[in-house]
Amino acid sequence: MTLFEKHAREIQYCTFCPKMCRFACTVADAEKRETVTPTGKMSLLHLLREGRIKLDPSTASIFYKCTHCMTCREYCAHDIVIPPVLDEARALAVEKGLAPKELVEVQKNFAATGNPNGKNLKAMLADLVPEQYQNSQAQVLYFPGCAATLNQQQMITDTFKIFEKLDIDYVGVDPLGEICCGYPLTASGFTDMFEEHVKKTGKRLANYKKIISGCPTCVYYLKTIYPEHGFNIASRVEHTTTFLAERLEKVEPAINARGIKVCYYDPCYMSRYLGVIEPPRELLKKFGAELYEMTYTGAESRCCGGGGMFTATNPKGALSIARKRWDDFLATGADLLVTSCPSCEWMLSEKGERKLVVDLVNFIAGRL
Amino acid sequence: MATKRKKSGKLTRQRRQEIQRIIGLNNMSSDHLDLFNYSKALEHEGHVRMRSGGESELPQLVVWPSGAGQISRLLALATEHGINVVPYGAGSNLVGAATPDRGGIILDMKRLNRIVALDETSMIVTVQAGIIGETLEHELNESGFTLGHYPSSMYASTVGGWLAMRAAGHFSTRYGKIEDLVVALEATLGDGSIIQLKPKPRAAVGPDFIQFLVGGEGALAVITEASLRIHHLPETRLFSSFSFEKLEDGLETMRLIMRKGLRPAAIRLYDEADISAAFEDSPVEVRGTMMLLIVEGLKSVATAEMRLVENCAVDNGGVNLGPYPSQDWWRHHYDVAYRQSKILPKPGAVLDTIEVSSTWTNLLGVYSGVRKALEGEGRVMGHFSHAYPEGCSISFTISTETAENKSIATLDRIWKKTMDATVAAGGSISHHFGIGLRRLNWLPAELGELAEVLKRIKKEIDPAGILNPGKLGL
Repeated sequence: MTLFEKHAREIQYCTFCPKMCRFACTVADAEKRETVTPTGKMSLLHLLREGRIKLDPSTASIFYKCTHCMTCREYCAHDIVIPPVLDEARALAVEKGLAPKELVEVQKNFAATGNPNGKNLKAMLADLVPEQYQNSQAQVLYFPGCAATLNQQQMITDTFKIFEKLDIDYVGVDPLGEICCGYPLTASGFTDMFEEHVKKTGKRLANYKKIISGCPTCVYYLKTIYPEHGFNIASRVEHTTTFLAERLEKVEPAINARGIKVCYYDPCYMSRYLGVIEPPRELLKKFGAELYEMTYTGAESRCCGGGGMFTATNPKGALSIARKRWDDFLATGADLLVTSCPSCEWMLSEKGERKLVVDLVNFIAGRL
Repeated sequence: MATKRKKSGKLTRQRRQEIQRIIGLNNMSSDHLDLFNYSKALEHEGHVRMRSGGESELPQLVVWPSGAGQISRLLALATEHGINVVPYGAGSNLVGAATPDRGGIILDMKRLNRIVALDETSMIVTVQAGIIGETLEHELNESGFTLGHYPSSMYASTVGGWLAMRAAGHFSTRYGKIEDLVVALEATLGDGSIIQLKPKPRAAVGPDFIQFLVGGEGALAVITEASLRIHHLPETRLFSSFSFEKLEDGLETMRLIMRKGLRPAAIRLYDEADISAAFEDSPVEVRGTMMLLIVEGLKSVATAEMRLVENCAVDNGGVNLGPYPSQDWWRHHYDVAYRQSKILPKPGAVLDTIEVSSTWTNLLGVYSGVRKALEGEGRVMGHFSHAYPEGCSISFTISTETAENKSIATLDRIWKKTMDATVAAGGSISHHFGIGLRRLNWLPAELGELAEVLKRIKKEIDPAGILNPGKLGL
């Protein structure tokens, strides 16, 4: 089935919609451009299907004007989900040799190292995780994700600190396992490469009773996308937050964090894809935080600009989006911004420059 | 009334460089995809082009200015070289007001999207014109305020667009229309002059220039900033619904409610055809017509007001249906916009809403005249809303199917019949959607000699006629 046949409904409905998600689209808000609204992007596919425009570099570039945030769906009475449609359009662009050059680099990196960054992430992970937790035979697998391993190493370190303090010895990392869930591949349009990656990664994941990760995109991919490729692990996958919430129920904080004004930022993949909104907040309150909320929160949370490979294809645009979220944080009057996604943390802290942004596990680890 | 069709001056390489020096290279585009997307808003002709192709005038360039200064310099340049400029908000216009049918430059206003100031003492918010309605309302709600302005296009329309088209929202009976909300404006005239009208509750200092610009459809000025009245979020919101066997009884109820000085947030009276469409999923059975009532404000006042409003309905034979239909409508009041996605893709589908207004004296005549004129034109639904002591608005929604190559001609015919019947019965050709391209032929009759006066004023403030030429017949 072609992309146009498979997604006929989405293309039709969005093309003829009076742009009801106009105010919510992250990229359309950043660029102010009608062409990159969900209506604009789907209209493009409509025109391509009708043969009224050509698939050229200009057209293909529009497929990459989406951070996968899914804010549009929150305001769609038809529950249209745009990202998978654009992912298939990106695959079409790749097929026609029209992938953005930045993403061709990603593909090369993946071929060489199994991750989009071209780094030896397995070696990095080995340095972060205490030896006793480097155990492929553990009952529960900690799946780190490429973003955390490269950029949010303290999140991984603190996660294992918490495990140590709680005497959780049944969690481990797989020293030989893949670090990346493969999301950068589908988000770039390299579907063939993703198929191979899923087969390789999924085989090793199937051995575990439970799989946890501090990256909500990885959680979503292992929970939802991997089963579509034959790895039925959905019920065993969860985010570190909910895993810890259960195990911290009877634990009292060692340091009273009362008086710290905290704003929790809902990552798109956490709130909209996984529906996890309250558990992080409950944990923060448990550890004494006074919560301050942004204007748009929970399922309406606005994107940080870090998804959909937007940081690679449109780095300035992605940065401008992240800065808007930073302004949203400043407007809350809170002292600290806490989130539960390594990509969001990276974006909101502007690559670690801002010290007032931490992951939830960093917050908890310092208060156990 | 349309002026001689004068196309835009050429955008030579030198002109583009001059524009680039004003706007910046990253804030302009002549990409074919942008030119196509900005060649239309939500007018029917645009949908037909998406369905089955066809030619239309494209703009020559799209620009995203950052403020009145850039716009002023751009308009001065455009005036010098006869280059048309069409202001564009979020592109939700239904009647072709934002369509660049004579080419030129699209001025996308959305970079001007800040809330400039919130004056809680005077209950005024000052915003840049490119802010989208829902974004503004959400921010106001965070501080305990509301505009009280809820058009169906809330998610996809800008404050500047509201002002340019003289928009009305669902709760206009209580909060007023956009012209009642605006207390100050900053605007750039066609020749580049920037005018700033400061906020004041009222002043007797000559004619109100703000009201002159509101409804200018981008042909008189580019509005860049506005100060709007705000209200405290209501303490309570009450819902009620009534059925009336006869439409006349429902209309009389509306009239009496307004005459008594009661100001519900919304009164909507649906005819039988509109009920079956608007409430097809409702569990409540209705015979005849249905009235929805919403009252809000301070608890004690709203409670008393709702009682009095309901008494008017009962006194005129209304049967109380309880709050559910009204609550349900409010919960889903944007849903009607989503429905068009299912209807419009079909070749030959024709779907449009035509709103008019009338005094109470002529209202039934307008309604029946239009209904009679549209017999045989498919499904025609009607509802009455936006009530005043003097009269109210009627919205007709028409849905039909024809051959694809006849769909625009069919819609033209439907519009002609509706407009002719409205004028013949003494009604006004538009309540809040505006003139655009759709209603141009009927504007001379509506304005009378004012049309010439408007042209003379336009010549003064836009001497080269470059601002959205042709709109409002200018």
